[in-house]
Amino acid sequence: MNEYNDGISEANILQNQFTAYLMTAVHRRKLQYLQDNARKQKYELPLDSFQELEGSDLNRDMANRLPVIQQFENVKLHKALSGARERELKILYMKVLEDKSFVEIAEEIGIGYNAVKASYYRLIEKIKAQLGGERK
Amino acid sequence: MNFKELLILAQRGESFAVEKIVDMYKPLLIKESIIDGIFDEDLHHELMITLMRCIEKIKI
Repeated sequence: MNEYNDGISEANILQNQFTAYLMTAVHRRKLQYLQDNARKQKYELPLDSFQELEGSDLNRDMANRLPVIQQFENVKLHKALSGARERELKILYMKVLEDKSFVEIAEEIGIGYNAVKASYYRLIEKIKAQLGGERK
Repeated sequence: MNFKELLILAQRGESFAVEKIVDMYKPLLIKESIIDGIFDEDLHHELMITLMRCIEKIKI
C-alpha cells in the first residue's frame, strides 16, 4: 500500500520526522491516560465485584477503607461522624460493621476495655444528639 | 503525491489528505491502543486526537 521509505528524499525524511514526533506524542498521551485511569480506579469500587461481596465481606471491606465517612448519604450522620476522632470511628466501625465485642476491640487497638466502651457510647451519644434523638 | 505535499494539504484542512495520513498511521495507533492484550477504545480515540494535533502542529 505505502511505498518503501528509504529515508533519503526530502519527503521521506519529513515522514520519518513526523513519525518520530507522533510516536513521542502518542507515548506521552498513553502514559497520561494510564496514570489517569490508575488514579480513578483508586477511588472507584467496581460495581460487579461489589455486588458479589454482599454480606460480611462487604462490611469488612468498607471498614478497611477509612474514608468510609464519605460513603454515607445521610448528611446529618456525615456531619456527626466527621466531628469524631479517628480512633472513635474505628471503634464504631469495628463494633457496628464487624460486630466485634468490646473485649476484642480493646485487644486489637491496645487500649482498655472501659476506654473502648466509654468512647463508643460517647460517640453514639454525639450521633444521637446530631440526629436530633430520633433514632436509637 | 509525496508525504510532504500530503502534510501541507492536511494542514490546510483538506479532509482527504487528513484521511490518508490517518489511514497510514491507523495500524500504529491500534497497536499502541492495546493494553494487556485488550483493545482500549477510549485510548484509541485519545491517540487519534493526538495524531490530529500532531498534523496541525508539525513545522514543515
